[in-house]
Amino acid sequence: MLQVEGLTKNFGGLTAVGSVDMGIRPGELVGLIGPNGAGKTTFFNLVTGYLRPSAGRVTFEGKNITGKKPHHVAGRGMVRSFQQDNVFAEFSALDNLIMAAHLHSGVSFWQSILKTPASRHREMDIRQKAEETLELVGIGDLADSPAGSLAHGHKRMLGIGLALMCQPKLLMLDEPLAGMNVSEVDDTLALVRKLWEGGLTILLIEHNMRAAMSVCERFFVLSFGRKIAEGTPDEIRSNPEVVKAYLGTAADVA
Amino acid sequence: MNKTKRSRMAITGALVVALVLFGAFYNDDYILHVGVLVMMNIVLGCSLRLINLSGQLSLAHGGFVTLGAYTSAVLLTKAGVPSTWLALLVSGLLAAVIAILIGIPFTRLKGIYFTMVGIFFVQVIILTVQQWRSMTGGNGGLQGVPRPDSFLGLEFASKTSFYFLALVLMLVSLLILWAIEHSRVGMTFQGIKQADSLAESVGVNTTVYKVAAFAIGGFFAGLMGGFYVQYVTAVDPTVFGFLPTIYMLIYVIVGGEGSFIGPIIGAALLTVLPEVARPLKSWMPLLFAAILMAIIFLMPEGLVGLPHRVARLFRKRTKEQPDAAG
Repeated sequence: MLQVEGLTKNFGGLTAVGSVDMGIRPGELVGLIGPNGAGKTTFFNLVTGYLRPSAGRVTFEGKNITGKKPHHVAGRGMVRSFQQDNVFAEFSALDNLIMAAHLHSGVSFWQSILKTPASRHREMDIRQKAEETLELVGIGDLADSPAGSLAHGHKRMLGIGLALMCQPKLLMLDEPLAGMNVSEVDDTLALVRKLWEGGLTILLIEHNMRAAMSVCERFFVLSFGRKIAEGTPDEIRSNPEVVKAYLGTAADVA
Repeated sequence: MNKTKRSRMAITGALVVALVLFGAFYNDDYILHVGVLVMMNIVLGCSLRLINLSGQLSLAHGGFVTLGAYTSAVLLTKAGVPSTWLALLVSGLLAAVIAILIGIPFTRLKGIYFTMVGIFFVQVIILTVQQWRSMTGGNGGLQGVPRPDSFLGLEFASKTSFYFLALVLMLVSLLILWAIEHSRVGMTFQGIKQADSLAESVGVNTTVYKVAAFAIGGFFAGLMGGFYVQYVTAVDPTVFGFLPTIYMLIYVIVGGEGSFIGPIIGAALLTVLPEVARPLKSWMPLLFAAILMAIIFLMPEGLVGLPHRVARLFRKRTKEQPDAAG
C-alpha cells in the first residue's frame, strides 16, 4: 500500500533521515519506533508532504507521491495526526470534525456560500457523521466544548477523530500516547485496535515501545535516521542492534 | 429558528428600517454625505476582516480601492464604456483578478511578510497611477467622472439618492460577506487561521482558500473604489494611500475583529468622529493611534465586547453588595 524507497532528508550537514526503505501492506497495523531524535517525526513529515525529501521515493497505492503537497496526500487517503497543534482550538469539538469533513463534504464552494438545499442536506449528514465519530473516540459528551480547552488526552483523541473524518485508507498516528496517563493509554490502544479490526491500515509512531508492542504486529525501528531493524515484536525484542540503540539506556536504569 | 437568532434578525431589521427612514426624512446634505462615507467604510472594514479571517493580515486594501476607483474613472472618461454599472462591476472584478495574481505567489508568505507585501502593493499602485499620466492624469488625477446612470427611473444626483445607493450596496455586500463567513468556506478560512498545517492534513488546499479570501476582500474594496469615484466624480492617487489603509485596519481592531459587527461599529464611530471633532482634523492620525492603543490595552476584543464588560462589572457590584451591608 505504502512503499518508501531510499528516503533521505538532509538538514545542512545533518542527515535526519538516511535512505530508509519500508513498505506497508493493506490491512496491517505497523509500528514505527525508535528513541527520541531518531527521525520518526521527520520521516512522517517526508511521507505526508510536509517536508520535501532530499532523495528517495514515496509510492502510495502504486502512485508516486514524492514531494506532493499535504492536502494532495490527504486526498489520496493517507491521513496523519499531529503531536502539537492537533485541533482547531477555537472551534467546538464537534465543529472540529465538521471542518475536517472538507474532502468528503461533497459541497462545492458556491453551493456552500449559497446554502443550497442539497448542501444543507449534506451538512446534516456530515454533522451526524461527526457526532458518531466523536462517540467513537470517546468524547461524545464534550461536543460543544471549545477544543482549545479540552484536556490533553481528549485533544489527542479529537485529533484522531479529525483524521478519521477524512475517511483515510492509511491512518498515520504521530505518537498518540505521548503525555497520556495510564488509563488514557489503554483507551487509545483499544481505539487503535478497534479501528484496525474495522479494516483500517495503520502506521503508529511510538516512543513508548511496550505500548506499541501490545498492539502492532510488525515494526520498523529507526535510530539516528537509519532503519536498524524490521520484524515481529519477538524479532525486535531480541535484535541486538535495537537493544543497543533503544534499551541500552534503559538497561542502565535497570 | 432559535431565540437569539430571531432577536438578532429583529435588531438588524430595525436598524435597516431606521437607516431607510433617516435617508427618507433627513435632508441635510452634509449629514447624508457622512452617512455615505460611513457605509462605504463599513464595507471596507468588513471585507478587510474577511481576509483576516483566513489568518492573513492584509494592508493591501487601499491599493484595491485605488485600483477600483481608477478602473471606473478610466473606463468612463477614456475608454467610453457606455454603462456606469458595468464600470462599477469591472472595478470590483479587476481588483479581484489582481488580488488573485498577486495572491498566488504571496499568500504563501506568513505573518508580517505577507503584511509587508500589502504595504508595497499600495505604493506600487500609487506610483503606477502617478506615472501613467496619459491614462490616469498623473498627480492631478481624473476629474469629470460621470455619476451613475439612472436605474429603473431613479436618478443619481442628490445626496439622498447616493445615500440610498450606498445603503443598497452596503446591505448586499454585508449579506454576501455574512453568507461566506457562515458557510463551510468561512469555516475553512477560520480553520486555516487556527492551524494551517492541520487544515492541510485534512485535505484543505490552503493556498486556494487564502487566495480566495484575498480576492473576495479585494473585490469589495474595488467595488467601493468604483462607487466612490462615481460619487465624488474625481480621484487622485493618494485618496486611498497608506494612511487610509491603516484606518481600515483600525476600524476592524477598534470595533472587534472577532465578530461580524465589529468593523461595522468601528467604521461607523471612526468615520463620524473626525466630522464631529472637525477642529482637531490635523490631529486625527494621533487621535486614531491613541484610540487604537487604548482599545488594544483595555479591550483587546474591541468595542463589541463593551456590553459584556459592563454587564460583568454590574454583576460584580451586586455580588459585593451583601458583603458591604454585612
